[in-house]
Amino acid sequence: MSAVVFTGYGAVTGAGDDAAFRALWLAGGTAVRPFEGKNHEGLPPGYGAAVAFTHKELRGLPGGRGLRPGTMTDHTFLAVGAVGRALAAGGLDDPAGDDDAVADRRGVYLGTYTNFPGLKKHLKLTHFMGSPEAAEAGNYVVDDSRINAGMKGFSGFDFLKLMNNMPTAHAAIQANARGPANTFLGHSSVGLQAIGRAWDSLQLGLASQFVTGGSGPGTLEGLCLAHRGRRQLASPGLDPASAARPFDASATGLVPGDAGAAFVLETAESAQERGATALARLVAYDERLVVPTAERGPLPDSSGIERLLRAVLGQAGWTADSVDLVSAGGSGLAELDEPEAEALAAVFGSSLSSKLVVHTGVVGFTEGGHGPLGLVGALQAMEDGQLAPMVGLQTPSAALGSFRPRATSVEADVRRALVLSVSPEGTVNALAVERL
Amino acid sequence: MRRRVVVTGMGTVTPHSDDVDELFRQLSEGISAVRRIQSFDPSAIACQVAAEVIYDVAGPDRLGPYDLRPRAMRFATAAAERALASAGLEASDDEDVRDRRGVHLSVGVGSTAIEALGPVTLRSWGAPDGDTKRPLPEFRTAASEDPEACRVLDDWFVDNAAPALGLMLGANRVATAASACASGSHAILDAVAALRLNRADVMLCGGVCTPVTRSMMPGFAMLSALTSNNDDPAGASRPFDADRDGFIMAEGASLLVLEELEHARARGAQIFGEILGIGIATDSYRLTDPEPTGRGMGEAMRRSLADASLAPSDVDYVNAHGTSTKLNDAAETKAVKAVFGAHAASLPMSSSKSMFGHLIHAAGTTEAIVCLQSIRNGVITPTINQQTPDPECDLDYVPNTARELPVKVAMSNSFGFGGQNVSVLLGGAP
Repeated sequence: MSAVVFTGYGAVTGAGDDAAFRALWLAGGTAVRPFEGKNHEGLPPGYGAAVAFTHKELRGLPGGRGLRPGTMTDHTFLAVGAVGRALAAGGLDDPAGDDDAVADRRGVYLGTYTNFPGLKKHLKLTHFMGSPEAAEAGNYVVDDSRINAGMKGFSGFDFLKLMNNMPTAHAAIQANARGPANTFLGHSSVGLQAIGRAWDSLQLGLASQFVTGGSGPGTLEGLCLAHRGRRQLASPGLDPASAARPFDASATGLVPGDAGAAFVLETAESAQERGATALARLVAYDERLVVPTAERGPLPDSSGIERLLRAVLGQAGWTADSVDLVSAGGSGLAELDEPEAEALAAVFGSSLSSKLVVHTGVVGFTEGGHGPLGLVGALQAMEDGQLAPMVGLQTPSAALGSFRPRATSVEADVRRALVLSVSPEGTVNALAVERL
Repeated sequence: MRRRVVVTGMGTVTPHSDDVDELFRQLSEGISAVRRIQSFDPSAIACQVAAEVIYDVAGPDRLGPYDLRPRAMRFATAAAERALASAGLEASDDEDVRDRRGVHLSVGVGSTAIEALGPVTLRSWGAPDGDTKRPLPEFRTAASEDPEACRVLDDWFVDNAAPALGLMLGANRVATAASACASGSHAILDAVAALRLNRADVMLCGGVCTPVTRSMMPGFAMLSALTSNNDDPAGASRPFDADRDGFIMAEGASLLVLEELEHARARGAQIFGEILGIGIATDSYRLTDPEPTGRGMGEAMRRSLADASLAPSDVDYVNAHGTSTKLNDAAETKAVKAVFGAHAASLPMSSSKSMFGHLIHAAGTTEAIVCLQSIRNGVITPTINQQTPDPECDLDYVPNTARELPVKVAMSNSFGFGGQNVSVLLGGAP
């Protein structure tokens, strides 16, 4: 079976691109700020790490000129932004110029949450469809005769862009990819899942090269309100600069953040043929369903996560001690962080202090972008030899055992990294990468 | 040596029936399930016909932590229940067994039943008076203080269906995905990959879609994708006919149990057929239109043949994607001619969508079930509503009447909005 390697990565985050994300993280900073502007006014929890990526920036990236951002949801926009940066970093500056034989062997697998619209138009339609007569009595009753009139201002693309495959459909055009293409859906674990499935497809010979990763517009109003309904958002009124607290005993919940992160993943032969530099090898991936005790709620215990971690280590042929960096989910939501922390402590023991990193404190909880962004951080640590500080973690949860958080970055020779995602719907997954 | 993958379970909730044998019987008789929309009054919208599930789909309201009341959850779990029953499989608590079981479910857009937010818009903005300039922050504030409104928004997300199926099967590998109209076949591909790579022994795979809603129907009509033949619902879906004018939206779910051959034999499972090969290709062309020469479609078909080590002449029947849109049906015809050459002229190719419309994310697995039933029964179901030949569509579409014919190898085509194409080759039980 051919070795599979990463040859490029890119990200779009609330801190800026992947380089800006790394710089802010190493400096111990955070991109979480008070919500402002019409997209976020009045939205709980009142703060987050929103992206400022623009259409103009997208057009300047490989494959970006032919895309139409007006036909995209925020999920798709973040995905193609990250894909554009990954293509550039991977040396695929002009994918449209590749011949058919290359395009036929290039696939796209991305992960994101269910495609969700900005609610503005849809709410107006909802309101308009209500019967004025019933409203006089304080009741909302749909008047079907008003549907068509309420559609004024919509275009067909307002609905097409809600199709859940649209991130991949756009990215396939952007990357000139004519091989396998699929969009994986769910909470924060889907980005790593997409990468895992791309790895499977490369091993089966369905493609030679993939553009893969994930995105999540965590500050989108529908997501913030849904999390609010689940009682999973961080408390309002906190200081935004210290609100995102992964694995911290005082954490109050999720701090929303936007991000997309993507990679060029290919067989070693493909990388060699085109003269690309292999950054790291993907050596293991696995996943588990841990059925929560309530819908999108607490995980029952740490056993499923611990079992997953040991399975991935076994696949990789590694011992826990031989791992140099563990990038954890660390959502800031105690019902997820507690079992995750217990599992990490059980597997890695006292050595966890010298290898655990979490980026949630820097850019918030970024849904489908979360796992891939952890992988970006791992690859960056392999490149710059730095273990980044534990931003937002001051008083470690008791579940972490004797863990001591780093306040500043420290030098480290990172050769082996394990990246973990834990998702509220119960999907947990992890992958192992080794520097070349 | 490659691990062989067989089908040991089938389950559906389709507009015709929730029983696979009854579904096939009705399709064999050329019965259409397309009707005037019944779930709401469609008089004000352009497309007023669809294939809805109008019978009661019984089932529990909860499964473990999961709320099964949303329509997509109800359909997915009901189809899974039927598939698992036909496979003779029950949930397992044994972690070693669960590690070898997986679920891949393709899902459509979320509930999109946005009218459920109506009460909050009313409280936020007062009675509708025709003014569409309404301030969003007022809604956000009201909604964030209203647990019911937030729960309604939660229904948009369809991330719980696959985990619920994972609980039903007792599976530790669970994925949710979407590749539009190719989704169901893509689910088969993902399941086959897990089985061939020896990551699993049993996979439950398929799709669910519930798009017949007040917003999605007029929304897709705006794309000129849907039929406007409202006067004759049963005659509205007419793939490959010169008078075709768009597809019929349909709702439902279909699930297959796929299993590694020796694993199935060892437990004495009934084997309904075999997945011989799968091909996947992407157009990388446009979001709404297929590449007009059918290049990507043809590539998916070629790759499935190569994957199965079969020649084009080995294929006895093609279950077409056949949506009843001008562009798809012409491009698919070109692609079939390019792939099958001289064999295309004598190759029966029919579209089940002429009878149950377009099940979108559930289409691929439903049509794979039709292929398996054709192989088992020696009957090819027809393309109904064939009245006016289209010079661009000049193959044997099995017009209007089913045909008795031995089928050893069948191809199921699924091509999606966004240019995602999957072809699945199915054979009889080994």
